[in-house]
Amino acid sequence: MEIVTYTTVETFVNHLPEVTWVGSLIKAVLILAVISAIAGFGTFIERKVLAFMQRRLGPMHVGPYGLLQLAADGIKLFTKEDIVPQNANKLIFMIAPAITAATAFIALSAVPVFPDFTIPKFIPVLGGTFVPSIASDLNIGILFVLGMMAAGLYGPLLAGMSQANKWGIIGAARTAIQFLSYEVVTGLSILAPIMLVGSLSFVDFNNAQAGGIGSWLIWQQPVAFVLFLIAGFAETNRTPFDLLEHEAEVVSGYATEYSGMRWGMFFIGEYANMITISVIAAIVFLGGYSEGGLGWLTIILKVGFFFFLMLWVRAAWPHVRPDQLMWLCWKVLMPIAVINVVITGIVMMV
Amino acid sequence: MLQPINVSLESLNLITLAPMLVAIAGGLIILVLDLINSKLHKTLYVMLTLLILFIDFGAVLGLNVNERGFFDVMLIDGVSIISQLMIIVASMLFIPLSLTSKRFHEYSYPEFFALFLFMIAGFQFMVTSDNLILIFVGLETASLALYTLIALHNRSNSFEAAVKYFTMGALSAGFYAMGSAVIYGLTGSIELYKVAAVLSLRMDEASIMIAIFGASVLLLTAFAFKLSLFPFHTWAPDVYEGASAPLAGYMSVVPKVAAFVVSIRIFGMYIDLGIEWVRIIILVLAVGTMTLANIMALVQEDVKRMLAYSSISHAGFIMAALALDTTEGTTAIFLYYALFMFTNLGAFAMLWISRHKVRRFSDRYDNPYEKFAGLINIMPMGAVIMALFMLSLAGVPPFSVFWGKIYVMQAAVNSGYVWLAIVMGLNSAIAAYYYLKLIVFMFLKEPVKSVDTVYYNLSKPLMAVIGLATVATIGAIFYIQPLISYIYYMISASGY
Amino acid sequence: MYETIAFYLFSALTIGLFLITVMSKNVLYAMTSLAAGMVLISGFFFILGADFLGVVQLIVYVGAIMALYSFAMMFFDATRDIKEKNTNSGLVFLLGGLSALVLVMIFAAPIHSDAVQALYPMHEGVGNAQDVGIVLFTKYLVPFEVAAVMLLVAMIAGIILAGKKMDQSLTEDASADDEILIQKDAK
Repeated sequence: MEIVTYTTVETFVNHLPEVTWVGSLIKAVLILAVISAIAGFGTFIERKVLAFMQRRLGPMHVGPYGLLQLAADGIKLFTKEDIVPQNANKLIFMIAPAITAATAFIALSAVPVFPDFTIPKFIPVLGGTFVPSIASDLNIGILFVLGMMAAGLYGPLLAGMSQANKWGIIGAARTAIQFLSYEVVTGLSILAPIMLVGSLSFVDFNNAQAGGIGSWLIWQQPVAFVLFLIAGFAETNRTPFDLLEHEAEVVSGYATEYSGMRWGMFFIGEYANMITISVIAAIVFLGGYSEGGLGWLTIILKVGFFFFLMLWVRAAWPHVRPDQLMWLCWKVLMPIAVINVVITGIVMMV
Repeated sequence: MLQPINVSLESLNLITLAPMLVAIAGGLIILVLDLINSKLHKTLYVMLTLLILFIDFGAVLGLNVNERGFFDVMLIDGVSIISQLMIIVASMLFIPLSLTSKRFHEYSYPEFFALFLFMIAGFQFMVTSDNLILIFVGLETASLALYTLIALHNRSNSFEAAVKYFTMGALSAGFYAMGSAVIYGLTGSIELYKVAAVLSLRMDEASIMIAIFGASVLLLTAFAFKLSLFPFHTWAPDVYEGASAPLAGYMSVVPKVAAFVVSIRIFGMYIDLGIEWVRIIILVLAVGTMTLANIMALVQEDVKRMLAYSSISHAGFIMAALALDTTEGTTAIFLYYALFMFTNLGAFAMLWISRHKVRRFSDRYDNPYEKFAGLINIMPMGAVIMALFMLSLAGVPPFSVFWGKIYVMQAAVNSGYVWLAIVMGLNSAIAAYYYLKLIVFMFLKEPVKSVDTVYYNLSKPLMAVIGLATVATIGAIFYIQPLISYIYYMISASGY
Repeated sequence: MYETIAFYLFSALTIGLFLITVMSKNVLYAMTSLAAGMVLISGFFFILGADFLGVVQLIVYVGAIMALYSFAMMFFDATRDIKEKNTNSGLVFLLGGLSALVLVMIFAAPIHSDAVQALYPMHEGVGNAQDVGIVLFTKYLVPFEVAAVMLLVAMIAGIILAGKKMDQSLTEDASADDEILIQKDAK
């Protein structure tokens, strides 16, 4: 009866004694802290990368090489006055940024960001504890992450609708159409790799591609990879699809009336989502992390590459119009995604 | 660990799916045809739809009674075959009515015909299953298509009708889902034969009775909406008025036949289990429906609204037959609808040929009684045919509906419900008043406007359909006996 | 233990949120609490071990209520309260409360007797996406496919009803005759 196949494989993690809730809590706090920090740092990297691509220097004045610009921005955001417009629906207005940030981090809870490891013996108290790779290993991990990211679209939507500002409403309407449409493409494009691996768990995905570069799913599913990447740009509201807050058209879209830390939470949420999408792309298509040694470094490199790609595209591409966005989604990407799924199915059957 | 699943193709009994697949494939063919050439005339689509319906009809005739297919989800019994045949025949009568001499909006869409075929497939799924999920999905498929067909008529009151029907339909879908959920919680199954088996073992538990009460009330409400029974009938006249006349006639037959089949399966099961108050509730609903609708029909100023109330009242008649839960009673349901179908579609088709694009006779109504005043002078043949349909609906012998009414009353008396037969008789007497009112207008009054033609929308195909309906109405006496014995045989073969 | 706490927490929250949905006069509050309530309902699925259904609940309702929002965006000013005519709200409360009570009784009644068995029990060591898939593609294949037809119908209906051809009504155009079918003798 012990025939191990992809569909029936039990993840290694499940055999081990469960981590206590304290462990989960620690991990949750760690993820929250690290990702927030990275998100903040990401803004600095973005400005630098964009500057170099445009033959500028970028932030240089605060600290060595402009490194402390990050701290300066943080202080500015924290100390700025928190303005709530008079006619706005105050409660919803104040909740909305929290939704964006919270869902982004909840989504990350099901994403493995490094391989399993055991804490070395020489560390007091925790020494010898086994640490699984994910805060919570759901066997439907991918669906959960996509679902949570979908729930995240309520942030911009509610923000736009509650602020009694026409740019906000337009931003909210764009949120609804853009995210709903591109969710279809994300789901359909990732369906083909799911069919190949036969599991929805990220750990299974990682294990299925453990055989080195040659076994990466990108070689079998190049179309799905490109589709997922494009849809990922749209879902994280990145150029060329950043219509939600397109300065030249709708002032700042859903974020028009926001200031201070509330605006900052949108920012953090957006960067956390970028990281999530990068991690998913790295694990699903590029082999994820590898066990042992410096395996955790490979995934950081891959995630870093995707993060850089997002900045690169921002520097290189103009915005698209909303109608072009919809055209691209429903008339180009979705049919290709469906055809890709069908072909994958036929190939698997033959 | 999962074992690979092996299912042999024979055990699926795919033939049970054939009729619906024909209809769905037909709908897809029409869509593709429109994609290739969008300039095709509607006559092509009408003929294609008729052809598909013929094939569908043949596929239904080819089924064997009392078979199950596809993991026992599909159930082909006598009831299902008869109701499918009736649905298809009514559809074949309905579809040529689109060939009018004036253009109406819905028929300019090939999608109209595609949706129509999908709707038929939905109804067929609904009647060929005792799985509550499949019934629900079939019902919703058919309903969604029907709402659209109504709205496609494209004038303000057809939108109103579609939205009203949609809202009521959504409400009843909610009731249905809740009722099914209770049944599932009660028995752990949503297949009626398993439900019956579990319930019959546990009839003595008090808590079960509460839940059964809840489930049957919820389901009854759901179907009372669909069948436009008394407290839930208010949408029907407005929807019939807003829909085009043929569609209104169609709606008063086909969706109700399908809903009756499901009602027979569900409530027949309850009554068989000996839950007597389900029967009482149904009887109350039935008597209330036929009486109240009759009284409302008396005061209508519009012929179409009058016919709408009359068809509600007829549904009440048939609902009473459902409560009897005897083979004869169930036979009566189908016999009644088989006869009523021709007459009612004929009557609505007569309204359809007299349909004007603007309301010439009244600001409010399309078909006020005045429009038909003195029809005998303008269009003698039409007046006579319309009078025939009215007499038939009133239950005057020897026209078709008379036999249905007699058979229902006979079934009621045979099961000991003499009072029910008397109520039915009284109601027929009241109903005669408003049917005769139209005849009086047609034969004894002077035309209101002599210059206007009443047969504005006439064309040869419409005449053919009306002719067919007329023949079926007059000639009922010749085919009634074989019809009864066929239906009776089918019903008793499937154990109802 | 945790599950019990989680259950009561989720229950209280969902009921509270849905109460806001019903009682609130502000569209934005009503819909936001509806969405939040639907998201929390998925929590019950997670507690029951039906991860797959939980996520499906999440994705489906997030999308569905999103569509509701876009309608609200079109029809209402989200920052104002809706004027509602509420005559005799006491009676409404009484009837609503009674029907809720009756529904709870109806649904709770069969639970007392535990004769209900799972028809398609979960397999050990297999994710429930696989289990759902197997039932869906064997026993319930026909309803599944009919649901696909239903969605096709809904899609066609939506497209043609919202299409440009609906702008001009042939039904009300008195001059629209059918050249092929016109009756020569009927004037």
